[in-house]
Amino acid sequence: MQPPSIDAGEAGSSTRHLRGAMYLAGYGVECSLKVYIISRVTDCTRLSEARDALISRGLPIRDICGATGHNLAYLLSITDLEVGMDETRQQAMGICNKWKSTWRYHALPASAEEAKSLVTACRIVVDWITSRV
Amino acid sequence: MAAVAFDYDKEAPRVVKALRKAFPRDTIDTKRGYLGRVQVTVVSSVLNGKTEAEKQSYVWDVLRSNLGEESQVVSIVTPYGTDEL
Repeated sequence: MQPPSIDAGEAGSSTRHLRGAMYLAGYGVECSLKVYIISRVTDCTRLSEARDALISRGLPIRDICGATGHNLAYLLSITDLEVGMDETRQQAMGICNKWKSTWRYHALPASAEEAKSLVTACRIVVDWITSRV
Repeated sequence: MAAVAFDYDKEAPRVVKALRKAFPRDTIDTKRGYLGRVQVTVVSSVLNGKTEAEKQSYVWDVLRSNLGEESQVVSIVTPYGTDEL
């Protein structure tokens, strides 16, 4: 099997990594929110256990183990993190909410400014959530 | 201290009405957040060419100038320019 080759002259070769960074940063927010949700449900170590426990309490929780689990605004909405967010976190979370899990397949390059904005916002949100776990 | 709960069905139309002053014919959508908080999405050509930080500031400024302290019912804003579609 041939190892993958890197062609510096290939279209998008200088900016493709930016989209990858944006994808990973947003995925960090998704994982942080899921860790927070698990941490708020006693005796749960898995997201599916937390989901089932919340549903058994009569809460109208959607299947956060499926595609809904990529919906950052929805994950936020089922946590008390949404209460008392300061302006910086509100705006950072609003920027993070434009993240799409499908960016892993995204062929279009991102600009450095676009990438920096999203990665910075994700960093703010991840730091905030992990400080609350 | 217990978190304040909001009546989403009452608050969401108020938030939309406040945003309509700056976005009269644009797409505004709301979703229910934790304890009735309002999550807002706006799609408007007014936001074209702005950075993400500028888009955030623009929409939040509209909310604060029209709702004042009551803008706390809004938890997050997701703004799109039509140039992103």
